[in-house]
Amino acid sequence: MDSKRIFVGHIIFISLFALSVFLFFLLFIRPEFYFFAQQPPFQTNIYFIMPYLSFPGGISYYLSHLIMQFFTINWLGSLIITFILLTLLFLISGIFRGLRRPGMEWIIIFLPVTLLLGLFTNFYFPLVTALNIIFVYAALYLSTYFFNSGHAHWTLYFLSAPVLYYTCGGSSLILYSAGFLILLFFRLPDLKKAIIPAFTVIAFCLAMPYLSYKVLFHVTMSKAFFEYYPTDSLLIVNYKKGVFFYLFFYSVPALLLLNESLVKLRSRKSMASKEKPKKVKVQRSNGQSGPSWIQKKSILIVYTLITLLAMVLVKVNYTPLDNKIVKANYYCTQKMWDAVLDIVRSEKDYDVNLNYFYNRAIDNTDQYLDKYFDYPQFIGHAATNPEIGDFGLLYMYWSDYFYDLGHIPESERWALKALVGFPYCPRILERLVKINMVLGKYNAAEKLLVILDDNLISGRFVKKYTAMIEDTSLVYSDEEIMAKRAEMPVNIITPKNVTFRYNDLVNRNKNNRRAYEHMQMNLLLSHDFWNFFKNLPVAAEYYNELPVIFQQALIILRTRNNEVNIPYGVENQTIQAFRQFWSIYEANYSNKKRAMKLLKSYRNTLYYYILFDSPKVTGMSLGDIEGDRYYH
Amino acid sequence: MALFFLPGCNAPVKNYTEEERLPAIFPDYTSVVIPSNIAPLNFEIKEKGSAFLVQIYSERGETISFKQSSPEIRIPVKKWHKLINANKGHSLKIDIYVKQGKWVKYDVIANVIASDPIDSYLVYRSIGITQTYYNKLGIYQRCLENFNTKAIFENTSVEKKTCMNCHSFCNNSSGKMSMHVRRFDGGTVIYNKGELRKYDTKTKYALSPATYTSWHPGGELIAYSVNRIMVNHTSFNSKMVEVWDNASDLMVFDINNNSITTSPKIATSGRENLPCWSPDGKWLYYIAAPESRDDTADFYYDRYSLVRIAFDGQNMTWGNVDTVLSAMETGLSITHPAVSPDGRYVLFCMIDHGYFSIFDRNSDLYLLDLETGNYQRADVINSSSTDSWHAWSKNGRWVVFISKRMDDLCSRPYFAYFDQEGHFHKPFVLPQEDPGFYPADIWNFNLPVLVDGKVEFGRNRFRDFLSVEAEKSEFKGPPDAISGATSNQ
Repeated sequence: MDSKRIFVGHIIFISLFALSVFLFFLLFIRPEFYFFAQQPPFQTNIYFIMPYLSFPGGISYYLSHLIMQFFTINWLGSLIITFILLTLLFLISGIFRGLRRPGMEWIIIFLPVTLLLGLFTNFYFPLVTALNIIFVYAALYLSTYFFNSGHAHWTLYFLSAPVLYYTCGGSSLILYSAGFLILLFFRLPDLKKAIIPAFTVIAFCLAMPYLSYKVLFHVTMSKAFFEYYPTDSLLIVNYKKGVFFYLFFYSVPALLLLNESLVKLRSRKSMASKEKPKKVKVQRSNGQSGPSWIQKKSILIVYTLITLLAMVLVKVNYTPLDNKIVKANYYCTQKMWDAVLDIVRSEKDYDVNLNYFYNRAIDNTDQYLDKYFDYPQFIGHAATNPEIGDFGLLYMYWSDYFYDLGHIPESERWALKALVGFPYCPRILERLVKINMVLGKYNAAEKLLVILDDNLISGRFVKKYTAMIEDTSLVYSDEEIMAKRAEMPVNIITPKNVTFRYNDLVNRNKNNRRAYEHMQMNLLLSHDFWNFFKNLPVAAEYYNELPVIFQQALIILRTRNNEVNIPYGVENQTIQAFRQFWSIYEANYSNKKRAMKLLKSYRNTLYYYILFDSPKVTGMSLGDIEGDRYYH
Repeated sequence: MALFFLPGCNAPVKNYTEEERLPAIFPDYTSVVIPSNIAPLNFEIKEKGSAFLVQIYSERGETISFKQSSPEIRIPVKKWHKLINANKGHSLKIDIYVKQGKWVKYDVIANVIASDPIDSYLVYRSIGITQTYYNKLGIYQRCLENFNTKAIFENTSVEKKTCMNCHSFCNNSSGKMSMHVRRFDGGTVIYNKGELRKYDTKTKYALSPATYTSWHPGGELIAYSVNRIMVNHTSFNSKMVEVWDNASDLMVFDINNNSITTSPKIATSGRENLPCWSPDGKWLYYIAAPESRDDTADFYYDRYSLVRIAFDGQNMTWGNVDTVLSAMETGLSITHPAVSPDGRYVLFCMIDHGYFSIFDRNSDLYLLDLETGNYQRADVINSSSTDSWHAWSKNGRWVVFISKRMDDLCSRPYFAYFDQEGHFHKPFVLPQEDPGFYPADIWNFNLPVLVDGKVEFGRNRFRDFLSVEAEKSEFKGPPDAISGATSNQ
């Protein structure tokens, strides 16, 4: 196989690889979820960029936010990801071409690319890390061309290292310096001569961040010296760094070390056998760096191996549950409730996030009471009480939740809290615009619209609501705003007890059945049957027949207190079902596990929840279920 | 971007029509009185046009002219200062021409350059709109003579994000400052004589560590409140957050001895709050409300009166409490008293109930003349939105206060001239280099304080100092002072 054919083969393979990546992201991953999961803020004005200039690594962070705005368009996002991977491929192969020495197998050149491809399948993967590593490779790529030009590589190092530090942060400086040292060491005939350069580079790597920490910037020590990616976004805490993240992150020094070691090894073998490396010369002239046996025998094997590697890395990095959570959340914002329910039902294991999204979906599809226990409610009344779920990552959820119910002041409260955690986040700003339109605070809505108008993705939203600001009479023909106005409580202190908040909604608008249902469910989930019972007379205004769940609650109430008079009809079917449930439970009272197994078909009943799933029984809290996930 | 810059151009346009109204500009820098050392009042012309011609001039000195296609007017700092320095006490006029096919000239904007300068720095806290969650906040100093802004401290510079608040200065001096740090590495940090020290002012006799503070003019004592603060959210369109105390007392911290004292008169079972010393240090003004009934709905028990108590700094003795202005008389709750540097006036806020005015859209500023006992709403500086958190300049001729008038959402610092006759003049917002700053910014300016110079300690010095353990303050009684709400602890 001659070099020209190999070259054409490579081009075809890379093109097919790029096309596959593009289609994979376009059709399967969909970058819009990537954007949604991380909610990167972006504004075009100068004030937005200023904070990013005030810490090392800020520029690349800003750049990552800018790039991610285009992820909202799936084809563009897919194209960008493909381009990022190709850039990485180009830089790595360029580095080894620049070194003008053989040793690196094509498959190894592809290793960081396939690792990055795998990492991109996680919606929470910080793009800034990919950019930083690309910048490091780019700096090394430049350096390789100056290693044979006297001291030019040193000049380049001391010019590019501070720039890289400021642009990408301390970790990029360290990776670049490590790569630089590796290239340097393997070129020195005597290791003793490496002491001074090593000391110089290490001293620089310490002095630069120290100077930055003490004098130049007002940042934390970790931000000045080393961080994998900025952690100021509350959502980024969702990202769990795995072994492949570290492999990719440290691929720069690892790859160079591997390459230089291989070269050294081959060189020794060659010396030992006193053979001239003729084949190497051929490679140089081609600009190719792969060893000859692959070229001659079967380049197809390499392509197959790379493809397999890519597929394996995609498979092992793909996080189906995390991705489902992001998708369910996204579909909630799009009001695609059936899609939410499909996703939740497709997941076998319990997840607290899916629990929240499920509850919201059944509420918005008018199945709140009918389907409530179709999903295990392990978090109990925390699902209806924001004071229990008062975590940074849930602020936006609570804002949406209360907006659904019409409690606009509560929705505003949580949206404003979320805004502090995610400044300039379009999703939160859009929610706040709607809230202020409902509250009639047009000044505030206008201000928020001006800010939204400065991002790259809210054009349609801004157009719609700006028209209303310019002609406020349009507000009266907006069904959503008017409905919320009719529902929201006014001129009262928001009670600390969440049940009273629901009650305020019911008092404000007797037609707000959803608020009533949430109030009653909150009481039932809290095992507060007595207050549930006290609120029951209102049910007649909403239902011809008492919902089954309420009937179940009445049966429980009766079992607890025989003397209570229940003037409501409980269907015979519900009574029979309870009797069956109870007989199984009684028979297996001493063996809870067995009882649970036998009563599996009753899992969607209040009885089952009260006896087995309720946090009052399990002792579980949000923290227990999700660890630190919700803590900020 | 300026196409032409024509300094000293006297007849910029020969043919124009006159529009008999003031041009719309943002921010509103029309008919205002400005300090003789303020930074350029950059603005944007809000009239539609393809070209804009602006001339800024006064009786003396060189006219500053612009002819450009952009409506954004950015005045060179040096030329501006040269002009306003040469014309103290005179009018500063702005001619604006807008090309709308033909040139249109609007009425002349006439501002006045006061002879009195304003303190050269403004120290404020930057915080999110809600103020109940502090993922990111900082205390900054802005030079009022130009546009330089520097952080005194940002909580993003420490691994564990702290909350810091209630920065306070002695006699507007940048050399004596106090600030509280909460949550992590907590304590009251005091900058004095070039040195930073941190104190733990929470004693077993107090409800809380130091909260709202006021430096005694002598510079060695700080009066502060201890508060049990509660937060409620509301569905009032005028007040989305209700911050209230169900108990509070006043205490005095002696910097030199790291000791705390109080008196039964200022630590009663009622609620004493927001201390403010008179300039001679002989009176401590504060607000007082009856004991809380723990009933948030009963706002009538939640109104504060303005009171004062005599103080002898030499012997550390207290006189009797004197009601200066009763809530019964005003029908509103008095909050944030600030005594003018000449001791004659008290500038304060009034709201329907409580004392936490920053979330109250109905909060307005009032002026009490201590000589006559008359008080009145300072109409010229108030707006239909929140007006609160005010402070006097060192010379007493300027006040800075926070207002949400721009968008009903974000608080912005406004300055108003207070003349010798005791009248306020139309306020103006803190000038920014880019007139587009305020619409784009989403953070609140909070607790603005005017100081006479730059706070000298660097931001990283403060950050590095923060991990120092706080020195425990000692409560020195007198024992009979432990009364009222405090004694319940």
